[in-house]
Amino acid sequence: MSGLSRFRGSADGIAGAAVLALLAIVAIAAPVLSPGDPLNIVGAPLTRPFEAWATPLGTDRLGRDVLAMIVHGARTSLTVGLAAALVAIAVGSAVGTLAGLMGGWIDEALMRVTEAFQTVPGFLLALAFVSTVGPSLAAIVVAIALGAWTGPARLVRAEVLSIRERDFVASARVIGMHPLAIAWREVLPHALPPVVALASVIVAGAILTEAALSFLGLGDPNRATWGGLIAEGRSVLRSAPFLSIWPGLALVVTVLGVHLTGEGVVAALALRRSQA
Amino acid sequence: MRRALSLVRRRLLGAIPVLALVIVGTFTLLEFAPGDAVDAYLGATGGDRGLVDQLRRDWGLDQGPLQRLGLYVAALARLDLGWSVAFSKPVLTVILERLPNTLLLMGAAIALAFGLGSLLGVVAGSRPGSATDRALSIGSLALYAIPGFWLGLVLIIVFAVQLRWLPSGGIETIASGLGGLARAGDIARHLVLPVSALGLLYLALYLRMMRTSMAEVWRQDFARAALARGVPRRRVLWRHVARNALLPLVTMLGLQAATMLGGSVVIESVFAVPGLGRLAHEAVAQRDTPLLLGIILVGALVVILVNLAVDVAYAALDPRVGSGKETAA
Amino acid sequence: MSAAPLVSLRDVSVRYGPATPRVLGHVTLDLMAGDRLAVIGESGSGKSTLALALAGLLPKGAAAEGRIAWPGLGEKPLPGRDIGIVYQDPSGSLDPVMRIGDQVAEVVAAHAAGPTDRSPREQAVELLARVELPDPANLARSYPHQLSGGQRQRVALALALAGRPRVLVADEATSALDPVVQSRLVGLIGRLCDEEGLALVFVTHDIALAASLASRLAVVYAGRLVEIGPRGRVLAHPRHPYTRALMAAHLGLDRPPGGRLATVEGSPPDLASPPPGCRFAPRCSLAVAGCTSGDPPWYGEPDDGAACVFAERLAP
Repeated sequence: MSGLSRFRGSADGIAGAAVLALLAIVAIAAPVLSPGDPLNIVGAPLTRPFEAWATPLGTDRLGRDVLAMIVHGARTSLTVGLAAALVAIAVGSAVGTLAGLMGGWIDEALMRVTEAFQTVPGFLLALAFVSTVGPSLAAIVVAIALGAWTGPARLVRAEVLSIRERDFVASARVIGMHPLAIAWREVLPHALPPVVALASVIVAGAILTEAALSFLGLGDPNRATWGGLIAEGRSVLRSAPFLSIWPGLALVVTVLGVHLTGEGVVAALALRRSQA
Repeated sequence: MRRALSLVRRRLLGAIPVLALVIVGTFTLLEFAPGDAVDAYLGATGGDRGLVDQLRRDWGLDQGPLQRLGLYVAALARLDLGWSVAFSKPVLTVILERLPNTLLLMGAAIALAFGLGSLLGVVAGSRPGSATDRALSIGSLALYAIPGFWLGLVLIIVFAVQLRWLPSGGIETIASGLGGLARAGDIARHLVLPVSALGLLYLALYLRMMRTSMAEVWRQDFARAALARGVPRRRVLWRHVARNALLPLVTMLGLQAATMLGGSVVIESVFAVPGLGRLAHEAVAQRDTPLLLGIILVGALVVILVNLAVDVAYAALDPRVGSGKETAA
Repeated sequence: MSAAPLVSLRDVSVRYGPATPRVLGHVTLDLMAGDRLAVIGESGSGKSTLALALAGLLPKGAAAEGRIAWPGLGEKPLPGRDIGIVYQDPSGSLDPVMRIGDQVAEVVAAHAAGPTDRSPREQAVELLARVELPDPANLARSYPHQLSGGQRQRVALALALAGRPRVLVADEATSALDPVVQSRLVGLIGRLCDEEGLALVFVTHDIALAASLASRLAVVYAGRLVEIGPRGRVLAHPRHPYTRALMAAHLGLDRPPGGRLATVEGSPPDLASPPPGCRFAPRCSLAVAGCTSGDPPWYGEPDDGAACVFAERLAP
């Protein structure tokens, strides 16, 4: 596995993967690490960080444990980020493959739709979608994917266009393979590596969009979210800035971890990018 | 010049189907949203059952979806974007009041991100692997991971709350009675923090892109050839390498316009800037669907126009665009 | 000739990077003022490296052993001012987004010794006229993509001349062009060298083209200089079997009718593991057992001889 060894050779990739592994553990073990509903009131309101043992990062205006909410927020953040990116890449790859393989008016129509989606600011679209459908985890995932599928779609289409002229696709056609089988077995596996390299950017974008949505009060109200925590701290920004700073730092570390892992993946796929 | 004009014509023609799709999309969302224009209108003014039916007939809302889409498009052609319940004004009027602030914010953020980002990218890319290059790489990677709205809050804590150097929100001092240059200065002071919060992420993006792009151009023959001909390194760096490396960044600028407009929604909310983005948030909070969709439509239009401007700028920067093998005129 | 050579190589070897094979080994060569030297070799033979070494333009990572000196120029040449170079790819060596005239004027300005009565821009137009480009004033305002390949290479030539150098190095400068354009450009290079009193180093894989332009021929094979001498002598009495093979290939005895470029049978050795002894031995029709033990001796003068045990017998 030279790809794996190339990933191991990338210091960025190692650091990023370590950060993400730690976050994944925290997210998965959240119910064990801080049992009970994180939105329960556990102490005096606005306890400062490092003052009380039970609430090491302090409490918010209602007396809820900031650390517990951050730990459970990791669950939301990672779930939504990964799910939205997965949906976006799946939809984008499907559209891109279809457009690239079919060509003609189907390609033309799909590309116009893609362009239309790229023209509408994705965040406004997400805002409109969530406000129409109502804030639930699934709605937020779909809303984010709505603005994120165009990138993979264009990328996959370009790859498919260059791949479908190659010999192995032509020979698959000659032996009478079904077009869908060709797409699934011959074309997609070759078109995917660049998309995998793009995945880190999409995941990071999805995490940031989720945070921004919940910051604006459009997150799932029954879950602890980092964006919601930051918004919660805003009203006491002058007296208790830590309420907004902690969850923000968690976001920065997460996104940084995703980006660094992405650099490692790019190195592993031996694709050409930034590191010269 | 002819080249630029034909380019503009081609792009505008290409934008028509895109805009049509956006309109169909907003219409569909409008259909799915609870309540219609009559509910919205009467919610503001009040009226009885008879008036409701009367208005529905007058406005054509009792017809099938295709006819309604036709009416919607006809209304759009008359620049009628509907009625805003939240503001009790036509949607277009509300939007046009807010649009300049957003354009100002976006323009300044783009200028900061593109100007400073590409400049630092040149510095980093002039000697790849140097200490400066590594510092800038690490710094930009960190900056690239910071959500703009949170950065905005941190900037408020540091510069408005702690240091008290800059105002924490708004677009200008209310009822300051300032005019002319003094007022412009006041607005500029209010914009420093939101522009930084919106632009710094893109600054990091452009820095990294420029650095990569520079490394690629350095490897090209003409850069090496210019050095071999005795052109001073500094001049090769700026006039040849940086100049060519800038081209992909300009393309990126167009692609980022939509993302940046989306980002301004949160930034404007953080800094209480009365712009299009904050308006979108208000529209959501007050369930004012026609207003929200009007904003989306206008936003798409802004994105199309920004892309047009970027295309023209690109054509001006790259003589190869849109020209066949014609000789110099 | 008694004057100091413009460039002098003594036992020069070059490698790109510490753990890489030598691309050039033990080359001794002088370039005199007014010389017209052709360096002939297959691709990968090290001929371009030789040209870069002569011009003092070896890239940063390259390590050169032996002695490279420029006694006739004073010290190490300033790129562009003392030695002008024209590369193979006529489109790649020009900045695609800068006007032709500006690119030439830029090099003129870079080498301007003091204030002159004419602006760099005016001198640029004159240079474009000197390389016989049509309507130079107008052409100066166009961009590289608006020119043909031959025109672009003329611009590259103007750029090489802009610093008023004393040596012109043309590295496969005409190879990418079609034959008619190529022969016109070769003629132009010859005339310009005469008019300016330039020494010329013409690097090519084409021995016929080399013979049409140069007064001296140097043949390079697998990183070694295998033969050098005046054109007349080399063409009439080649002393190295490789030179003979190159000429035979070009005289067209075994060329298919209307066929493309003829080549010597076989392929050059991998420089990472060169054959023992004479590097041409595996392809040589004259090779004997002794050829594969130890480097072949140099027969003749340093500026007129060959590296082959049979050189003496091949000599007239």
